[in-house]
Amino acid sequence: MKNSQFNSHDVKTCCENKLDIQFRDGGELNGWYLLGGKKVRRVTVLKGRKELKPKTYKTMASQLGLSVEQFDNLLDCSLGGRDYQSLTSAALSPKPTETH
Amino acid sequence: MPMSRPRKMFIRNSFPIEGVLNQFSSYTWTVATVTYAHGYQAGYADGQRSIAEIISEECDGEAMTLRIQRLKTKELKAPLDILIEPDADGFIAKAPDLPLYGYGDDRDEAIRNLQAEIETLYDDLMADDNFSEEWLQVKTFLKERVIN
Repeated sequence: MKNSQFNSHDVKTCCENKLDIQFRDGGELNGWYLLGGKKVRRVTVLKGRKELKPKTYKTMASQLGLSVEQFDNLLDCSLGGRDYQSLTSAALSPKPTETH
Repeated sequence: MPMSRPRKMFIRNSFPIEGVLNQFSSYTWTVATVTYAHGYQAGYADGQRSIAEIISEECDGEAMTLRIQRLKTKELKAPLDILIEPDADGFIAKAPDLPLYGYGDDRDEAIRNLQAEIETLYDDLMADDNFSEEWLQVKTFLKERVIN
């Protein structure tokens, strides 16, 4: 987990630049990720340049539908916007029913 | 007449103590029940201190659950379970039924931020229906829970 390498502003910037998430300034910063025009993921980012604590980091990853490792990759640039779109699309597509 | 000491209750079983906890008038939220991870419920009749301060004395360093009955400005039809866990030197509050969190330097702040998050999400979801199936289910859940 690379939470110590990033702060909340890094997450916000990454989500804006890679995922086109537009944040709204409420109590914290909230933004929706759109897939095919629909709002499919909602992430909350702490305001300012706050240190990311382990459980908060893990929860943000989960809000984006990513494992901690995938979230690390999103933040350190190896996972791009298109990769994220593919992952999200695959995660949200209906699973084939199991046959016995 | 000597001043009475703050009353402290430890109740093993599921016993409603909102009558006691509602005396915390400085709070915009009402704790219906406070359940510690180890299965106890507790409450104070001392209205001078915040419930979170009391909880932190009793439950330092442990994950705990409690129930909120109000959001930032809206009320809930039924209490909502929330989980508060230490997160490094702060706290994270989550609602197991909702994909949300509130972070705070103390439990109070984490709970308040989660309440604000739930309310913001509710407002977002009520604005339109342009959401994935997963979020539409959350919308239905909140519609049933929140008094508008």
